[in-house]
Amino acid sequence: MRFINSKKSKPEDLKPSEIVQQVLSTNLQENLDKLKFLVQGCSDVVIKDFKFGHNPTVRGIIVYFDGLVDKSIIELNLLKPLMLEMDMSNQQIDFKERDIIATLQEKILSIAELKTLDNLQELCHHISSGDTVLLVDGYALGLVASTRSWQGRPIQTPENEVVIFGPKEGFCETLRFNTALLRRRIKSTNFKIESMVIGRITKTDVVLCYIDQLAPPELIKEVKARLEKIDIDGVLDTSYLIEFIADDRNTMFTQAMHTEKPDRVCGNLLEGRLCIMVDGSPMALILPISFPQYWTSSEDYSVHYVPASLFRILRFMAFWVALLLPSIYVAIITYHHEMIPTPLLLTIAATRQGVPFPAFIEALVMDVTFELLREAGLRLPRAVGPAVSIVGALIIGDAAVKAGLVSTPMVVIIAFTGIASFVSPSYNAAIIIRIARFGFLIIAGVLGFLGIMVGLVLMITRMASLSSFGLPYLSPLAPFNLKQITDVLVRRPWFNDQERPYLEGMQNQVRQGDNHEK
Amino acid sequence: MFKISNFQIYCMLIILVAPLAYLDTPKRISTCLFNNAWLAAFGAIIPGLLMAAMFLYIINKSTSPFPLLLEEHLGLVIGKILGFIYVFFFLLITIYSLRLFTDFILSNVLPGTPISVFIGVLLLVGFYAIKTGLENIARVSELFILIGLPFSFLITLLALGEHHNIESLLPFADMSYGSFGLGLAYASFALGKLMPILTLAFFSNNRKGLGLTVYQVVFTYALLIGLTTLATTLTLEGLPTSYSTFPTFSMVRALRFGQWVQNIDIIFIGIWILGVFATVTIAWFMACFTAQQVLKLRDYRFLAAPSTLIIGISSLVLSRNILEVQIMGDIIIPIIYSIFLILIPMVIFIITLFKPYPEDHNISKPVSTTV
Amino acid sequence: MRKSLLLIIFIIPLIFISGCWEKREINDTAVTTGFGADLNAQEQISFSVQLAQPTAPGESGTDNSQSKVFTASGTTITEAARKTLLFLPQMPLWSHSNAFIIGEKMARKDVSLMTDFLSRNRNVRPEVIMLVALQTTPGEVLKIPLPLRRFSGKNFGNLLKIQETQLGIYVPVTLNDFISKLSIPGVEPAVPQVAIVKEEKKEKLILQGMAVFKGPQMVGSLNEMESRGYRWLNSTVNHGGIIIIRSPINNEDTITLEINQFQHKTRPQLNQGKLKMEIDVETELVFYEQNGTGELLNLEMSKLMEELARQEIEKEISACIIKSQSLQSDILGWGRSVNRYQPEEWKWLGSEWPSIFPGVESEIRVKTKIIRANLSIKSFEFK
Repeated sequence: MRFINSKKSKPEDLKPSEIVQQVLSTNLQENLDKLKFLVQGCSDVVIKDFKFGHNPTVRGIIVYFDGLVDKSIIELNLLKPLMLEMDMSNQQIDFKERDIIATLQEKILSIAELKTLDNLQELCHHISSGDTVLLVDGYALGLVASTRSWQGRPIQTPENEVVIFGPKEGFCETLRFNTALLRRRIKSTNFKIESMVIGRITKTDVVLCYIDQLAPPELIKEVKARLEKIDIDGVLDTSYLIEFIADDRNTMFTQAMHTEKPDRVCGNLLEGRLCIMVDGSPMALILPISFPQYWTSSEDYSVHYVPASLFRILRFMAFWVALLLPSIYVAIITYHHEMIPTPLLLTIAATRQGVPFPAFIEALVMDVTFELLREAGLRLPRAVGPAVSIVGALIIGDAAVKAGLVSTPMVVIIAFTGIASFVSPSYNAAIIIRIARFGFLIIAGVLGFLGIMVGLVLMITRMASLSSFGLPYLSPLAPFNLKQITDVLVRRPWFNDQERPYLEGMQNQVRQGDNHEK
Repeated sequence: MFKISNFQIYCMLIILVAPLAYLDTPKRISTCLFNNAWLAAFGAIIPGLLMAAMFLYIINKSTSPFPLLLEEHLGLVIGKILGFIYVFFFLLITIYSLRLFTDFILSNVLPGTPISVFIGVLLLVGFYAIKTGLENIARVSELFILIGLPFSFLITLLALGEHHNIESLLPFADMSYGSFGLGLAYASFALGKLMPILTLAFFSNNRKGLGLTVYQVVFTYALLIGLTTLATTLTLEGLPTSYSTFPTFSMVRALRFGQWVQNIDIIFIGIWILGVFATVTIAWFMACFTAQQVLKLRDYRFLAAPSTLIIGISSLVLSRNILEVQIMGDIIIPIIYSIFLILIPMVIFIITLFKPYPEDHNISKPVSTTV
Repeated sequence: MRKSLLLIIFIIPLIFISGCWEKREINDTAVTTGFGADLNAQEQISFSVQLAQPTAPGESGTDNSQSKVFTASGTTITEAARKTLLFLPQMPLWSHSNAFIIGEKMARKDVSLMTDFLSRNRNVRPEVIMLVALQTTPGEVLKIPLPLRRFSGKNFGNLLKIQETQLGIYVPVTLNDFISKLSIPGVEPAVPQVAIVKEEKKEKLILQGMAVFKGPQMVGSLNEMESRGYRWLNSTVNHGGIIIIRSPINNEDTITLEINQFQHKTRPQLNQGKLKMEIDVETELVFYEQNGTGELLNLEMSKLMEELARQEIEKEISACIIKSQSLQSDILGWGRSVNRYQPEEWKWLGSEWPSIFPGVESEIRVKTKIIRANLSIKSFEFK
C-alpha cells in the first residue's frame, strides 16, 4: 500500500524552441532573429549591431548580458579595434581571401581568451556565463570573448571557521577566485582542477581538484563517475552534490567535510584527498574523510604541537560531553543514585523539591528550549539577536528555576552541554551530536546507563558500517592503525609527520624527508 | 572478498573468549582452589597454547574454512551432519552468554526490569550488527577492545594497588592435584572458543602472522583472568570469593579511589556490555555463517532475522532461575564446550596429521562472494 | 515508509510505559546516611536508619533538623528495615549509608541475624564502616550529631581514619573486613565501639574500646591500651599515631613520640610440637614533644628513649594478646597465619583451634628508631 500513488515521472529539459539545437547560419540577420527569439523576455541582454570600421558593408553584432561583463573591456578591446582601429591600420586586410574570424582572433582583438563556437546552444551558455559573443555577417562561426566580471562578495575571513593562528582567507561565491586561492598555494602543474557542468537548467560549473599522483587514481575515477551520474535541474550549493555521491545516502553522518578555508583544502589535497567546489557556493567539499577528522581544526597545524594536541584532547572530551552529559545526568539521578557523592545528591534533591516533572521530561524540555534559543539566535536579525539571548538567559534560566519549573543543576547541565557542543570545529559534527543527544536522552530515560551503552553500541556499529568513498568512517580507530591514530587524538609534530594518512590505492605515501636530525 | 587484518582477528577472538570468562572464571576456579585460583588462571596458558597450536595446524592442513573443513576431513555425510549440529552449538553459545549476562545485570543492577526487555534490546543491537556483515563486526570488536581491554586491566590493577596484602595468597600451592586439574580445566575450557579461528583464518590478510595472533590471544586471556583472579582473591580473600555469585563484580564494588570516585560498578557494567554484546554477536555470526555454508545459501545475513527469534525465546526458557544457570555453567556448558570446541577439533587434528599439506593455489573460498 | 511508521508506532509507547521498572525520581527518595540494628526489649530486631534532610547550598538549617532517625522493628532485619516504610513516604536509598552500627545487645547475642543481609544486599556497600554501640542502641547513637557535621553516619569513617593516623588507637573496620574475618577460619573481627557520654547536659559521641567477637557473638571489649596493641598488629595504614613514654632523665617528665611508620609481621614457629608465634614490629618514631627540661637529643639519650618506647610498645601488644587469649577469641589472626605459613600443621590444628589458641605462646620483638626531631634540634631550656 502506498500512501501517495504517484507515477514515476521522467525529468525533461526545458525547451524554449527547437532553435536552440541549431547551428549558426552564414546569414547574420537569420542568426539575429533566432537569437532575439531565444532571449525574449530577458531584459538584461544587450545586442549591439555595428559595422566594421574598414569596410562598412560588413555587419557584425555583439551579444552579452549586462551586469556579468566588464564593459570597459568590450568597449576598449572589442568594439574599438573593430570599429576604429581596423580602419587606421596600415596593413590592408583582404577579407575576401582570408578567414575574417581567424584574422580577428589572431591580429585584431586584444583579448586574452578567445574561442569560436558554431551553435546557438553554446552561444546561450556563454553569454549567460558572462562572455561576449561576436557574430560576423557571412560566417557561421561566432567568436567568444571572455569578458566575465561581476560584483561578488570579496574574499573575507570565513565566519564559521574562525581561527586565531594561521591563514584567515576564506572562499567566496565565485568559483574562479576560489580556484585561484588554491592555485596560489599549490604552485604545481600536478595540481589539477577538472571542470564539469552539472544542472539541467543552471548549468553550474563544478570543479574537482586533486593533486595528480597523490590522490588515488581509482578514487578520482569513481568520484568523477558518480558526479557525472547526477541528474538534477540545478546545483546551488556543494551540499546538493554530497547527498548524491555519498556511499550511504540514508544517514545523518555526513561523509564529506565542508570547509570555507583554502588552507584547509590544500592541507587535505596534500594528503591525497579530493575537493569539489561549485560555482556560487563558498563551501568546498573534502572527501573522503573519516569521522575523527571532525575533531581537527585547521588551526591545530598552526599552533605548536603540544598545545594543539591538548586542544584536540579537550575537543575530544567536549564531544563526549555534548553527546552524553544530559543523558548521563538523567540516568544517574533516576536510576543510579549511588554514583553521586552524598552531599551532591542532597543538593540536587533539595533543588529538585517542588519540580513537578520527572528528570527525563525536564531534560528533554530544557534541551529543546536550548535548541530553540540557538535557532532563534541564528535566524533573528542582528539587532534583535542580543535581546533573544538576554530573554533566553534570564527568563528561561533564572525565572524558570525560581518558579520551580526546572531545577538548577539541570540548567547547569544543559548550559554546559550547549557550550561543549559549540566546541566542535565542524558544524556538521555539531549537528550530528545535537541529533544523537536526543536519542541518548530518550534511551537513558528508558533504561538508564544500560540504555546509554546500548545506544552507544548502536551508534558505533552504525558508524563503523559506513564508509566515505571507500575510506572506513571511523578510519584510524576501526580499522585500527597505530601510526595514524597519533595524528587524530593528538597532533603529531611536523618534523615527525613522515607519512600521509593512508588512503586505499594511494601510491605515494612519504610526505617528507628525514627531518629527525637537526 | 574482503580481508580482515590480524589485529581484528585478535580483537574478535579476545572478545569472544574474555568478557564472559572475566565474570565467570574467577568464581569457578576459586570454588576449586580458593586462594590458589590464580595459579590455575595463569596455568591456562599451557593448554591454551596447545589448543591454539592444534587449531593452527588444522588451518594449515585445510583448504576451506570451518564448516566446509569438516566435510573436507570427515567426509561429506558426517561433515554435513556435524556442521548442522554446530549451527545449534553456536546458537547455544549465544543463548547461554546472553542469559548469563542478563541474569548478572538483573541480580546486580536493575532487578525490577523484565528479563525480556534486556534480551530484546541486546538482540536488536546484535541483529543490526549481523546485518551489516562480518567486516563491520570486526571493526566494532576492534573499537570495543580498544575501550574495554585497557579499562578491565585498569580496574584490575587499581584493585591490586588498593589491596596488596600478598599474605592473603598464602598458603602457596596448598592444593590437591585433582582440584588443581579441575581448576585448570575451568580456566582453560573458555579458550576453546578460539575455535572460530578455523573460519576467521580464511579471511585473514596475513595468514603467516596468524600464529602469533592466536598465541597473543592466549597470553592476553591468561594475563587478564590471572590478574583478575588475583585481584578478587586479594580483595575478598580466598574463601569469601567462592561465596559470591559474581566475585569479579564484588571486587569492583569494593573498589574506590579518591574520596568521590565511588560505586563505579555501573560504569564497569556499561563497558562490559560492549564486550558481551560483541561475544553474543560473534557467536551468533558463527551460527549464521555455519548454517549458510552447510546449506549452501547465498548469504548469511538474512539468517539473522529467524535466528533472533530462536535465540530470544530459548534464552528466556533456558532455565528457571539463577541456580539452574549456575549449575549449567558448572557442569553442562563446560562439557558441551569441550566436546565441540576441543574434542571434535582434536579428532580432525588427528586426521589431518596423516594428510599432506595442501598446495597453496587451491585454497578455496567460502561459498558466497557476498560475505 | 511503512516499516518506519510501524517502528515509530512501537517505539513511542515504549518510552512512556517504561517508567515503572527501576525509575526512582529523586523527589521520591530519601537519602540514608547511616543505619544500624539491635534487639529490642521484645527480642525483636529493631532497625534504625538515619535520613538526611536535603538542604540546598545557601539555605541554612539548624543542626537537629538536618538528619532524622527512624526506628522500626520486625522478626528479620529486612522486615524491620522495610517496616520503616509504614511511616516514611519515600524510598530510602540505602546505598548512601556509610556506617552500620550494631547494638551491643544484638552483638552479644548473635550477629548472624544481620550478616547475611549485609553481604547479600546489593544496596549495602562493602566499604560501610562497622561500629558497635556500647551500652546503648544504634538509634540513640545515630540521633546524636558529630560536632560541626551534618550527618553522623557519613562521618564515622572520617572520625576513625583521622583518629587512627593522629592518635593511633582504633583500627577502622569495613563491612568487607568484618564479613571476611567472620568467615575465614582462624581469625575473628574486632570492631570499634562508640558510646554516648553526657557532658554538661549535652550528649556526645565518643569512640571507646573495641568489641571482640568470637564466632557470631561479642565476647568482650578491648580497652584503649589493648586497642593500641591490636592496632600494632592489624593496621593497614601503618603510619601515624603517638606513644607516650617516661623521660629517661627524670621519671616525672613525659615524652611524646609520633609514629612515623611501622611494619608488623606475625610468623608461627613450630618447636618440638609446640606452637609459638613470633611477632616482629619495626617502627620509626619522631621526637614530638617533651615536658620538663633536660637535654634529650643526643645519641645516648635517644638510645634510651628507643628502649623505653620499645618497652611501651611491647606492653601494649602483650596486653592485647593477654586479653584476646583470655577471651578465647583469635582477633589477632594467629590461626590464619598458621594456615598460611604452616598449612600442613593447620590441617590437624584447625579443627581444635579455639581450644588451642588460649595456650599459644608468643614472642614479641620490637625494634624502634627515632629518626627526626622536627623543628628544633635541641631541647627547650629556660634561661
